[in-house]
Amino acid sequence: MLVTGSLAHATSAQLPPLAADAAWGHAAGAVQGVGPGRRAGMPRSTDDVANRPAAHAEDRALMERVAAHDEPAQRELAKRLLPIARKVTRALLRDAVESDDATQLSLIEILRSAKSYRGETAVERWAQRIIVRTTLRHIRDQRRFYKVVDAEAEVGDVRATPVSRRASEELPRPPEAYLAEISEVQREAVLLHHALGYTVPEIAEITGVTQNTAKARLLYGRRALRKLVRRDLNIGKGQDS
Amino acid sequence: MTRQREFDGERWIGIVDAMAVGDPVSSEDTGYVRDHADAEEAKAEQELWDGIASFADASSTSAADDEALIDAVVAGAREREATQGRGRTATVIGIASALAAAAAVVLWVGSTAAPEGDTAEVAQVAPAAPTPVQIETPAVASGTFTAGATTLASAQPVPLGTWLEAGTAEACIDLELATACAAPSSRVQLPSEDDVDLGEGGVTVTVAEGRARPARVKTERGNASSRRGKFEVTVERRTRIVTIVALVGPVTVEDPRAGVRELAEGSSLVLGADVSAANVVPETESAVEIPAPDARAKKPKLSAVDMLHRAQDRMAAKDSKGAIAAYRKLLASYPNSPEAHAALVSTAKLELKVGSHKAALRHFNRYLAKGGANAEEAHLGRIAALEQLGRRDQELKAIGVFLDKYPRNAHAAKLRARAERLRGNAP
Repeated sequence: MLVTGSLAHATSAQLPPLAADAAWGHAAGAVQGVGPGRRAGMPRSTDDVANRPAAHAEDRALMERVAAHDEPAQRELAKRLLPIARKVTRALLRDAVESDDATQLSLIEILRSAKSYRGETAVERWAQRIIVRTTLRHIRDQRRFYKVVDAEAEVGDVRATPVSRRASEELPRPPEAYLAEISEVQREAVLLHHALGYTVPEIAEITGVTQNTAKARLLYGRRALRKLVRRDLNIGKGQDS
Repeated sequence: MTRQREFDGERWIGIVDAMAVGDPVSSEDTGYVRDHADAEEAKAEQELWDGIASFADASSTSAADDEALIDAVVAGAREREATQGRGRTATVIGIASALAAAAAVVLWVGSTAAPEGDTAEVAQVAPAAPTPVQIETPAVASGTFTAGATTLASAQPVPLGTWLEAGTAEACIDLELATACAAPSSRVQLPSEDDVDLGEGGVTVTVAEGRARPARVKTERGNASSRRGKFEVTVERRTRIVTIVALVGPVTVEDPRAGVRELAEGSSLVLGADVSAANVVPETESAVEIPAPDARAKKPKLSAVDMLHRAQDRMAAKDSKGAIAAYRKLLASYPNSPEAHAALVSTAKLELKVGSHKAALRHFNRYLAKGGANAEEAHLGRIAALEQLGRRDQELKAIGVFLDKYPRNAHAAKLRARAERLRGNAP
């Protein structure tokens, strides 16, 4: 029976620990706690695809062509990675238009970095880290996601936080509204974990901080969100207020 | 038989938080959480995590939009590669000694400061603090810089007085209580630990509170500085026009011609705009010396102005596809240039015409985020894009905003009627 966010995800496509994943470069050890499983469609760490040398050989050949600026190869790679890029950018940016911008930037970065692909893991896995990092950098640069709208009223919609369509009877306001009220680094950690299924060690690697810091950011982010939700529950605030 | 236990909120929180961060939990704790899944607080929180988890759910996109995006990606990658191949400056003063010193550098990670959140709870749950490491400032914070044949990567110290070129992605330098981020392929140097000389390209400086001295960006046409906040300075390569934007907080601008003035938050200033595009010679009273171009540099790629003209030529020739491709190359190659900004509305209108509605909306939005003389046209285009995308609520809101701002526009009556239909009031 699915009971909590954490347990619920655990009973879906739970991935094996990342310890054996050379791309991460560290022995994460067994994931003892229960965290969200990898979202459907996201690359896995040690599944059969990643373990097939033949798959990586094909990927290496493709990436060599991309690195040689072969345009058909570039288009093939961009098309192949487009769904993953959209998922990640959409999870982190929410707005479809903004996520397109970040998708474009991420894919350009991937094409430019093709020569650094070593074939130790599937291309999707290798690329996903670039996509996440590029998107986070884009968010920080643009500060578009959750900033208060400009003084100009007409750009209110441009910067307005899109609301998830998910119906919720228990939550007074949409998740985006709560996320907008916590700090940027906490929001990053929460999104990386709850939307994209990354563990604390992975979050630390992606965001370039220590595992302690990543853990604290996730923890405090969750607590801050919890506090906001409970405040709303206490005062009976509705979604339209 | 399972004994019914009263809901202990604090215990529940401790368990689910431990699960989320990967700490071990006992089977009894797991059972406790399962037994209290129906508690009001648990259900609301579950909705929150489930809602966030759904963020990554796929959204539908059209094949045309996908193709348009892939076109832009391939064109953007090609242009950046061409930029990379231009050749780099040969200045290598001090690099060898600086890199030797880098071998002895220990990093001080800023994250060793108290984590965000309720500090009263730090003692309760914070793990042991990581071993602090010291870093020499200034140092590369992210991305890469090149100085001649040498590449400087993250955490490596930045030598003073040496021209650097940012890599193909943004690259940042840690200063004391400040960060200077250079746009891809920008040329910068640090004459001191407080100053950044900007040769060409763009740099965004974020200054934290508590800095004793202002962080300053110097260009040949003037300087910009701030003690706290965030500002951006760009130097257009061909025209040498300098644009200063005060993003957060005021910025002090030193203009050799007009003296010192303060730029309010949200405003921008252009220096050297009276210089014609053909005049690429720096002024004699330049605030900073620009080194001679690398003699080995290959033939320079098209400037933003040339790219804009090329796109306009294709549009005049009624070659919509060619014009879109040319505009997108401009946007990908010089995203922060005034030419790219001016091209956004033309690009978006063409994209509307060929059915790339999402791309059109993206470009209208980007134009309106900064504003400009074509804002009215951009608003109209945005409304049209939203209509084509079927985003009725957003379209209705956009119409309302437009009519408030431009009540006498020729399309106002038509838009009022459209708004009525969207509200369901029209027959």
